[in-house]
Amino acid sequence: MNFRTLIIDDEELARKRLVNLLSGYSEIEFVGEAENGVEAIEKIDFIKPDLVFLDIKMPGMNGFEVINQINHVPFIVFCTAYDDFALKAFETGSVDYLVKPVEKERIDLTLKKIRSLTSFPNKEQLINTVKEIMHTESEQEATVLPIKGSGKVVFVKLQDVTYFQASEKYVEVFTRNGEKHLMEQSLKYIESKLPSYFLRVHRRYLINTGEIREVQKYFGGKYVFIMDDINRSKIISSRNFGQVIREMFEL
Amino acid sequence: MLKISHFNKQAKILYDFNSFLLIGLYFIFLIRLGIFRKQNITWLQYNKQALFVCIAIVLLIIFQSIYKVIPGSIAIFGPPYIKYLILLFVFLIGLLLANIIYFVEYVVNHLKIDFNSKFLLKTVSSFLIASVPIIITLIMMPDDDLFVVWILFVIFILGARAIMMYQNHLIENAVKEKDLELAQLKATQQQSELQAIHSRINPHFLYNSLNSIASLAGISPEKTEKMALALSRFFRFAINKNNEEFVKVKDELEVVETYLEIEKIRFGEKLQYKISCKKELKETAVPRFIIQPLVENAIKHGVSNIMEEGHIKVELKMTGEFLTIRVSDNGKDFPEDPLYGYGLQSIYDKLKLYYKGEAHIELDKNPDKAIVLYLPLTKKWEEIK
Repeated sequence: MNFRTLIIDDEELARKRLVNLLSGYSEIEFVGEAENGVEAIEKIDFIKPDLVFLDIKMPGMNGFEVINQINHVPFIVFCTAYDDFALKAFETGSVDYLVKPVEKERIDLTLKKIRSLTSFPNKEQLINTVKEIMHTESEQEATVLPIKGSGKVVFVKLQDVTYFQASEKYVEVFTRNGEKHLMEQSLKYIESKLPSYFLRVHRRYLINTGEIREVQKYFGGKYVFIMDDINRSKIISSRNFGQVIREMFEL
Repeated sequence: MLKISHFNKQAKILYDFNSFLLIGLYFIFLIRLGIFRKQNITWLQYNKQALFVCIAIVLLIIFQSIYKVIPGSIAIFGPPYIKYLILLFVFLIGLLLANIIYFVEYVVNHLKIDFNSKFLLKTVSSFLIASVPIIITLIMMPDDDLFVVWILFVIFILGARAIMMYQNHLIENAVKEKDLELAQLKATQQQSELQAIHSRINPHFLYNSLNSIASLAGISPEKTEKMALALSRFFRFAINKNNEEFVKVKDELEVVETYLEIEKIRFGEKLQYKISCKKELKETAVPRFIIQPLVENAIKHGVSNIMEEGHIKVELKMTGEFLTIRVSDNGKDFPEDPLYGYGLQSIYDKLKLYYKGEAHIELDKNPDKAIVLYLPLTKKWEEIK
C-alpha cells in the first residue's frame, strides 16, 4: 500500500528534513506540504492524504487545533521538540509522535506501526486524546503571581503570599514580609487560578494554608487564623466556610 | 508606732491574715506587671494592668479599716482626709513602683551590654525596687514580725525570675542560631538558584536548532557550519564558566545577535530583527543574560504565533536616570492576565537581587507591544571589574 503523505511544519528546514528522511521509503508518496494550521486543514480536506506529519507548535493554529477542524482523518504522526510526558498518550492509539531532531531509526518504527494499522483513526477518539493532552499541558500549577500595577509589573511568589483580601474595588495581596499589592481582578477569578493550597475562609479572604501560624476556635462556628507574616495578621473566617475549614484541618 | 503585743490574740490573727493578703497582692502586682510581663506590651497597656492591682490593694486596705480588723492599723487613725490621703499615697506608690520597674527594664533592655551584665542589672534593680515596701514597713512598724515573710517572698520571687530569665536567654540563643542557619541556607540557595537561572537554556531551542542542523547537513555545508558555530558560541556564553554576574552591554548584545542568527536560520525570512544601541552605552554593565530571555519570549509568544512576517526590535537607550532595554515584537498582544510563563520571573528575580528594588519592568502597548526594563546606572563597569 502506498501512503499519500502530507508534511506540515512552519519551519522549512524541518519539512526538508522529514522529506529527506522519508524519501528512502518506497511506499511514501509526497502529495504536498503546508506551513501553517490553516493551510494544513485545507490541504488535508482537499487532498485527503493517507498519512500526515503534523508539527504541534505552529503560528496561528497549532497541530492539536488542526485535528479539531479537519473532516478527513488520515494516519497522523505528530512532530515536536517538546518531549512532553503527556505525548505518551499517542503511543497507544492509532497515531504516533516523533521528537525533533527526528532520527531515521525512529521513523522506521513509525512506519512499521502505520503499516500495521488497518483503518484510519477514529476522529472522536483522536479528539479526546488531544483534549486530554492539551488539558494536562495547561494545568501547570502557578508558582508566581504577576501583578500589573501602573505600568510596572511585580512578581510575587505564591509561597510568600499569606492572604488575599477583597476590598471594594481591588483585591489586596499580603506577603509574608508585610508587603501589600493591589490586583484588579476579582477574588473569585484569582482563586480559580491559584493552586489548591489557597483556601477561601470568608467572602473577602483567601488564605495560604501553608502560611498559617495558629488556628483558634472562635464562637459561632468561626475560626481565627493567625498568619505567619511579620504582622501576625488575624483573619476570622465566616460561618459559611466552617465546614470546609473543619474538613481541611480536621478540627 | 504600733504595738502589736497590745492586741488580743484574735486581732493578731486577723492582722496577720490581712497582712498576708496584702503581701500576696503586692507580689501578684510584681509578677503580673514588672518582672514576668510579656514582651512588647505597651506602656499604656502596662499601666492599665497596674491600675487594677493598685485598686485591689486599696480596696483591701479600705476593707481593713471598715471592719476595724486591726485596731491599731494606720488606715483607721486620724480624720477622714488623712485616711483618703493615705489611700491615695498607697495607690500612687503602687503606680510609681510599677512604672519604675517598667522603665528600668526598658532601659536595661536597650543598653548595649552583654547578657550577663543585663542579667545582673535586672536582678539587682528588681530586688531593690521590690524592697521599697519592705523598707517602708520596717520604718513604720519596726516590730513587725512579718518582716521575715516579706524577705522570703522577695527572694523566692526574684530567684524564680532569675531562673526564667536565664532559660529565656538560652531559648532565644537557640532560636537565633537557627535563624542564622536558615539565613545562610537561604543565601546559598539563592546563589544556586541564580546559577540555575543563568544556565537555564530552553531545551526546545536546542532541539529545534539541532533539528535544523540535521536538516541543513544535506543541503548546505556552509550554513550547517555557521549554525553549529553560532550554537556553540551561544552555549558557551550561557553556561558561563567564569560565573560572571555582569557583562558589558556589547557582549550581551552579541549573545542576543547570535541567538537571533540561529533563530533566523530556523525561521528564514519570516523573522526580521533590528538591534539598536548608542555607542556610548556599549561599555555599560548589565546583569548577564538579561536581554536574551526577552528576545526568546518575543519569538515564542509573539513572532512564532503569527502567520505574517515577524519583527523584533531590541532598543537600548537612556531614559532619564535609567538605562532602558526595550524588546518589542509585532505578535499578539499580551494576555489580559496573568502573565504566566512569560519567563519574566527570572528577570524580575535578577533585577531584585542586583538592584534592590531600584530597577523595574514595564509592559508597553504603544506603539508596539514591548517589555521594557528600567535599570538604574548604579553599576558601572569599572566597579564590577
